[in-house]
Amino acid sequence: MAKVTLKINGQEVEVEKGTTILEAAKQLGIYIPTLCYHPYLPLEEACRICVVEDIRGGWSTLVAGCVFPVRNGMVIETESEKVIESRRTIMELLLSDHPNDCMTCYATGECELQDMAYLYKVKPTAFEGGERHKYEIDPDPNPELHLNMNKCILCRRCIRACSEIQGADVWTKVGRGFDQRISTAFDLPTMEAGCELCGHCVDFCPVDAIGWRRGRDEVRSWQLKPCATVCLQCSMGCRAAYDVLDEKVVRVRGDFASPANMGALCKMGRFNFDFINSPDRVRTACLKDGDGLAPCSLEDGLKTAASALEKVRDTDGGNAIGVVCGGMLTNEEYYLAQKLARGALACNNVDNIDGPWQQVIYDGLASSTGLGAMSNTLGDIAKAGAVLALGADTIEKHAIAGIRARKASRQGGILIVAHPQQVPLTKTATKHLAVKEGSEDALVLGLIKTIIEEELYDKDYLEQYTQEFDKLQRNIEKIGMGELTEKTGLGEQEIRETAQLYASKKPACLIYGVDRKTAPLNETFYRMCAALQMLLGSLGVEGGGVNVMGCTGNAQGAIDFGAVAKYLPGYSPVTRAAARKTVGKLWGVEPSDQGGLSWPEMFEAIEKGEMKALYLIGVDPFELGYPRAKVEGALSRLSLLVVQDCVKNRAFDYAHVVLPSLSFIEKEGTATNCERRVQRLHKALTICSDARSDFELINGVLSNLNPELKAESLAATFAEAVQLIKELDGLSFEQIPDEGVQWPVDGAGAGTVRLGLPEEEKARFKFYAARL
Amino acid sequence: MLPDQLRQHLQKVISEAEYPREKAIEVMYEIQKHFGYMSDAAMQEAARLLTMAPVELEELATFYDFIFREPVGKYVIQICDSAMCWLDGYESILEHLCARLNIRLGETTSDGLFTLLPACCIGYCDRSPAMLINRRVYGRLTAEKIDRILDRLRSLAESVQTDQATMS
Ligand code: SF4
Ligand code: SF4
Ligand code: SF4
Ligand code: FES
Repeated sequence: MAKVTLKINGQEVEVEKGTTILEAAKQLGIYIPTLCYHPYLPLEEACRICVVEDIRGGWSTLVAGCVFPVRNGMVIETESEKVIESRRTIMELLLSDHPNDCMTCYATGECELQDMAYLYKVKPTAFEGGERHKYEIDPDPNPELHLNMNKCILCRRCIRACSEIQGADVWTKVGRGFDQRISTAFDLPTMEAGCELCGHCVDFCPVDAIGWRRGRDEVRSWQLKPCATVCLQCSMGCRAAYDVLDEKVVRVRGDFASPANMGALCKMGRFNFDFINSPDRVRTACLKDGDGLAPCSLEDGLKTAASALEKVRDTDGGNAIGVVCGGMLTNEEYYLAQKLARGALACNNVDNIDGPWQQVIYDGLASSTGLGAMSNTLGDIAKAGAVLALGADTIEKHAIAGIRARKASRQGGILIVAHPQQVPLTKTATKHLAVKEGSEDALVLGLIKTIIEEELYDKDYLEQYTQEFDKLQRNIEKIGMGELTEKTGLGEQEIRETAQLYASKKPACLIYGVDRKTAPLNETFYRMCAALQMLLGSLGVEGGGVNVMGCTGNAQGAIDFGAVAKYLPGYSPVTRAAARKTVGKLWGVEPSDQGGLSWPEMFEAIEKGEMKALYLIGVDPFELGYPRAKVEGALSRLSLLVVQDCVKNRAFDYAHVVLPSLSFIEKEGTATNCERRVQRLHKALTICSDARSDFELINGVLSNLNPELKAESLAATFAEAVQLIKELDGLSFEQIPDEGVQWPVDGAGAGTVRLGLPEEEKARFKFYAARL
Repeated sequence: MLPDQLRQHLQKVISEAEYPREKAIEVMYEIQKHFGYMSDAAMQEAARLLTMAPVELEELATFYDFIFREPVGKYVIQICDSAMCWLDGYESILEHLCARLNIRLGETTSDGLFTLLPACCIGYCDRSPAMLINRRVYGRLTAEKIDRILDRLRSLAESVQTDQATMS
């Protein structure tokens, strides 16, 4: 890149060509004020508060520093008299049509306009008596956004945030001149105009024009303590900044520095935190007392849980015990939960609620690509030529992937959405396929069949990077289009056209989001997803890949760290003696050689009377999709039910021991998002109670059962797990940077952004025979 | 909502462009020519044809003085609302127009004949103060000249009406 030298306030600086004056000044540590500019939004030049003087020999001109590119030999003054004068006039004009209501305004203390007025000592009196807008306050019934357009300074950040980040296109500027205002199309209420409640506009608004409802008239900005941690409400693993007052979360802002979400959040991450503030928080341990529960000390709770589990183990055997984890635990907690089951309770009956889905993802992908998880990153989806979105309603369940897919389509890419219903993503889609629920496997086979028959595949790529193509080629002939059209509910023509469309623009990017409402597809499905991507030469490349996303927040970490019946930490099958031996050496106790049960199998075993005790860690069994009577029946058959949760759930009615835990924002530890990114969690909130992290609670039970197995610290547990997980080769807890690290990690701690093309013959991507 | 012929014509116009959005103004014009103004439904339809978000089109429509988002009268008077005309008697001209038509800026006469709107500079500064009526320019305006123009248009409209009445 060519370099350019310029002078700012007499200081020389060399920057790359194309740099703006604002960026160049930043390199020198020189501050230029901005309002409409935001580093995470496209440039706009709406306010001109950033003017600087561009001195050209005998004359000079004022240019907007935030957009103006540098020139060789440029001479810039950022604080000259002319500049200050202009900035003050701009501020005077802004304040002349502003309520200047700082005393009772929510934004006070964090308002950028207020700061600017303070900085330039501008009073709102310069143009007194002039015309002012009088818009209605709070005219819109949006459940989260509070509008007061009298405070709007027309910086248009909201428009850019809604359109560029979310792709929802709710806001625009209507009218011109003094009559210009921010509005929705046709003045529709925001929800009718397509608001998806992502909250980006309110996060970006520099004043209180689009403001928060949460906390309004309750808190002042300076009372709020911000703390960034990872949102575990879905598998995207967004970093979010929680604004906390005492024991309460008041609002949540995006964390721009995070590569997973780059400042974006979804409506759950942004606004669904009431469970943390819930009056149903569990604050003490409890023991069954007659028909109800009676509070007890934490120590008694832990001791009772341990001794009761021990009793079942010693009388009915370890296989009569099951441990089920929820989806929002940390990696260390999953590790400890499976250590408890395998090391202290003599069984392999340990699972997490995503286990049955996550396990087949690993099996299918690891065997065909060598990497048993999402091949690329979330950011890559935006770089795709064509996106095929399968599975859950993407914007709803895997929001960051959804908005990246929209971005790809807005940049001219093709977007194909297969979903039984119209979903938010179909709005921007090139093609919507109304497939029958759970028939993605047939759809993918239909696409493969068309691509092979019509020879739309990339021959050179297949030759160079794949093996056993003939297996698939021979066997796909045997699968009739008729079967596939019947299962998907699509016409043959439609399938063929979709294949042609999907193959027409590379790289092709497949995304599949798991929805626990539909039964897990088998490992063949994932192999076929990989096969489809190989055919299009789009596996192992930027912007392509097979991108499978789990359902819950730490579904990936749960399986990586062994909280699943089939695998020990690091994906070693429990059935392999050598693997059990390695674990045995580390723990001093060897795991049982009997295969474990997944949670659906545990329910069967309970019904058959074979399983007597259940330890639920952050799971509401009534939310698993079973009919209520089935769950009630199962729970009442148990001779021991230990429920550990942060909020009361219906299983408490059946519990013998209740242990009070903390929500994800109150914990330390690590979690792994769907793009294999291991991130550190930070305690954002402290509540005053007996509640402890799941780590401490499981550890309490574990040390009561066998003190030898006790964990010393989070870092030590992480280190212990890493010894078994080759994907995390040598990674240390303290070493994990803020932006996280994506496994597989090499010995030096460097991660892998995306699966690359195979270099060695034997590592070539592998085709398998198709099966329906 | 569009008649087939118009829709096909617009589709053709759009298909000829490299980027559909290039034709946004043209498409809105054509639809406006047909309906007299751009209703919300017409905006939605235009956005669909252009594969643009309705909100993007709304921004354009409300910025551009010649797209009407509300019903307008038979004659749309657009008085130039920019600096040169201001210096040259804009205010008294506007006052006269309002008095003669008995409406305020932005309104339509009760007989549906005239709508009075401001327009941003129309480029006739040398003949200021100026206005447009159905996009035809009238310059060097005076109260008398305005009276003559309005009278002529009124009688023209009346004769058309009587013609139509006799014909039917
Ligand atoms: S938005 Fe900012 S400047 Fe305006 S009233 Fe609120 S605090 Fe004051
Ligand atoms: S909340 Fe999100 S979708 Fe709704 S208007 Fe704001 S930016 Fe747009
Ligand atoms: S509502 Fe807020 S973000 Fe949007 S233009 Fe106004 S001040 Fe800027
Ligand atoms: S910050 Fe540069 S124009 Fe607004």
